[in-house]
Amino acid sequence: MRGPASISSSALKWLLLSQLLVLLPLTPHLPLWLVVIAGAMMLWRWQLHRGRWFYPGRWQRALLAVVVSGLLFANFRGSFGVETMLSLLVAGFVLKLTELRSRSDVYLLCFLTYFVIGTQLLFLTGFLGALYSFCCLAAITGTLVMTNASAGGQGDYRPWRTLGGLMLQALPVMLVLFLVVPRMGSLWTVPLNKSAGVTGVSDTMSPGDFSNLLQSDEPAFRVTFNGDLPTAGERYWRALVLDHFDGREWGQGLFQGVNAGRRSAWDQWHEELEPLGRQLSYEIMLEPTAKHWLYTLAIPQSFDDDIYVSRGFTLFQRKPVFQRKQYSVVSALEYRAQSSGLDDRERRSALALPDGYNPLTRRLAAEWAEQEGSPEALIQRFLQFVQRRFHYTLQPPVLGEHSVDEFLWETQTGFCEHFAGSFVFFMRAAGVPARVVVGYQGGQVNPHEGYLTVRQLDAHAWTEVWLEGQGWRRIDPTAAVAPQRIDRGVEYSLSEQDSALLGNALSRRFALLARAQLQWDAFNYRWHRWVMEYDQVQQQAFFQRLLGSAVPWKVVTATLAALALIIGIILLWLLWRRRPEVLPAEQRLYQRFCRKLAKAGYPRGTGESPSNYARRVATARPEHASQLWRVAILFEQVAYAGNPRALPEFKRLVRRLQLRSGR
Amino acid sequence: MRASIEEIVHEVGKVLLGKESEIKLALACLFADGHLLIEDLPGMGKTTLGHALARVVGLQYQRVQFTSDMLPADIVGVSVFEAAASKFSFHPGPVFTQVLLADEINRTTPKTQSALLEAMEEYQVTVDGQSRALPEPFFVIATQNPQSQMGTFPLPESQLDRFLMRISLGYPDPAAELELFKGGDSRRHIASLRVLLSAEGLVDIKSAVGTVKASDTLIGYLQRLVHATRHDSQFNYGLSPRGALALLHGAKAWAYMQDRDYVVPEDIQAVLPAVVTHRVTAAGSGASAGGSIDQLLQSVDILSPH
Repeated sequence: MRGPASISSSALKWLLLSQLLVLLPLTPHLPLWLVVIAGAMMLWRWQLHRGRWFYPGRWQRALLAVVVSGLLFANFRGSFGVETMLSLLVAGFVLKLTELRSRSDVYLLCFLTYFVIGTQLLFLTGFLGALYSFCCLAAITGTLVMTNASAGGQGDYRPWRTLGGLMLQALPVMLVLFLVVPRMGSLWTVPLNKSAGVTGVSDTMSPGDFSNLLQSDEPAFRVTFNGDLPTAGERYWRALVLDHFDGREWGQGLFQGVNAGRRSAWDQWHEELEPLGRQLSYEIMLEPTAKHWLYTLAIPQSFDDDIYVSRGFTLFQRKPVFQRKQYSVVSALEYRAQSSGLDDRERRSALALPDGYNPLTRRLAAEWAEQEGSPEALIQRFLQFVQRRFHYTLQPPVLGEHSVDEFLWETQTGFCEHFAGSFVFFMRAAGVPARVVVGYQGGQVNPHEGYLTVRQLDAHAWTEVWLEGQGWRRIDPTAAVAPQRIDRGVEYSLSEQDSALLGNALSRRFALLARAQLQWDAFNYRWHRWVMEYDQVQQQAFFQRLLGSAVPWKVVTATLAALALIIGIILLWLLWRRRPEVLPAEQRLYQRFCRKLAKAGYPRGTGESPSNYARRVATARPEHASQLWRVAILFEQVAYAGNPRALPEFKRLVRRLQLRSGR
Repeated sequence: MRASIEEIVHEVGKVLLGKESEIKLALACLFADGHLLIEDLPGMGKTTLGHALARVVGLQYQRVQFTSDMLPADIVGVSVFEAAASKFSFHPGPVFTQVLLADEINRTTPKTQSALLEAMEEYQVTVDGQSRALPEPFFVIATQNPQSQMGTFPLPESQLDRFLMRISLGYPDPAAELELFKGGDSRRHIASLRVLLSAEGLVDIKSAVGTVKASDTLIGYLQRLVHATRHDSQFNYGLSPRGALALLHGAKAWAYMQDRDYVVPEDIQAVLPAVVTHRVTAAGSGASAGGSIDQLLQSVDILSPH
């Protein structure tokens, strides 16, 4: 015999299952030892339930608590981040299992679980993540229902119905609250100790780097244009300028680096930039990169307040992008940058080359420069040379110490990073200031939503050359050897063998899969744009659209009306479910007859049969006796003898019956 | 009321004065193929009723006085070894009759009670591994004395359920009693009563009762009544589905007696106290369910709630 406060087996199963569900997505953000302890606690509780193991004693529990606290302290060393707090929460959450004895403990744990589910949303920002959290929510609510359910047998479906009803009723209320509860910016920001590496363009470039990126079909960012889209050849997404070469690797020089925070910002950039022609305004939704830099089309003109410009006309922010970031930019597709001249430091860094590398290239560059005279002609000659002799492939041969020499004069096959790096080296050797620019090139238009998705495999490297009177000019040597790469995308510029290495190889083969992916991407995009990015501004806009204006009384009235509507619908549904069945005609008529007699002062007794009733009234009002008797007989005929032919006469009689009140 | 039935009631009423409604109920019980339990004090006319009924309907009649030392064989019969024929021959007991009056059924042991109750249920008895069918029709009128319970074995609920109806006769009203005194011992008149029905006629009536119609409206009323007995705090136990069917069947027999081929609520109301009282136990110790039954009839609406 179980006491009223004991935990039923099914409730415990649900509790452990939902705990497991809730903790699963958190495990990558918890220290490993805590995950192990959590698993052990659940196992312990389960074995306890099966009667195999025993409750830990008070001292054992105290010891456990002390050990876990110690481990927590040792692990985080007092740092106050989200992961610290999360670990503390989870530790308490699982240790509570060791003293889970009565129902009230289950309630406590359930409420704690709701809180832990909230923390999931720090990490799960996609639609599927939200769906998962919702499932966790359902599971823990199911636990509550199960705990409260009176001992039902196996296969009892009532708790499920209760759960379904609860969740369905909560859904519209949730929706209204989501839309109307004031959106406040976070009061403080807690840093997420993001240690997991996120793919993306890195701030160094050495041969072979890009091929890793090309194996990923993940979106890097999505762009919504307010107006026309740029043509495929104009879609250069600038991220970083690399101007320091150490013989093997291109990196950010001290001058153009964006890692120094506020100090990297360049205040006079506006004076050095002269936009020409068309300007495009757009919004970028950037996937988390854990890096400082942001992406922008061509050259930025204006942008949000918390974004800075580096000396390379690239955008960055002070903190790494750990969460999806949305920002808007206006870009100039044609421009003149620093056309008035470079200062000494800048010129020096744009010409610097490491000693002792690539002697052949240095010699030939000097020769060519002498033969051609102007830098423009030199560029033309180089590009023609590349176009005629070179080969664009994802699987270039391995290069030795003098990588530029080997690439330019021996192997002559390579990828964007080889072309860009070698070109800049060549130009510098010829005395023309040049630098490498990395970022993405291209982007796929989503036919469902009209935005542009730029994926990791669109990663690209190109160059900028400084020309007298023109400033920095973009030169893309890759375009010379593989123009399709620029016009149509990387997948169309490679041989079949190469393109099999790309991250989207599978979806290119199956059109249906590709379509599904686009749909899914569009859905996710909408989810982020309208749900995750739903902030105060969007909320105001929503009220504007819905109510005409966002004055408080209107908002409050609308909220109350919406809630009342939901509750009203639920109430109506309940009423409808308990509606009385429709009575047969003869019963309704007889009720009417009874009402008439009741009005005249002779109400029918509840259990009084028709003939008894008729007899009683007939005794009191003998002048109507025959009529009353006839009604009673006809009613019996229709209702009990199953004689529908008597119905018309019965109807007529009941209608005609006039009984004055009183006696 | 059907003329033939009226006549039977009148004929039985000649010896059981002033008990018309009880006679009618007993007849309804007979027509509905059920058994009757009469609960009353000695000398109230229980035996007279049983005997007169059997006579008028034209059935064989046997009476057994139950005592505490009775054995099942005393009722169902016994196989006796006959030396002359050197074989066992079966001597049928008093149960092999058409109307059996089981007097003071609660005086005998449960073993004997259950032998009788089994015969009532199965319409056959098994002796020495051989089943023997009872005559057709087979109608048991059992009596018990509710007052002196000393040394008795009260029938449990499950066995009370075997009786379709339970009635009590009560004292006759003054006019009837006066006539009774004048007329002398009524039992002597029983032999002079006219036989108005036969076993075959009774079988016909039983099958006619089975065809009496119960409309949906009426079934709804029946259901509400049954539901009320189950959910009313006045009763410890509600009416079982078997009890509900018995009620319907009794009402059909009553409707037949009223010369109708359909049941009206009054039929149910007429037989309900007799059919239901012994099947539901009134809550509270020792209270009779009678008052509660009246309340039940008054509180359950014959029309569907709207």
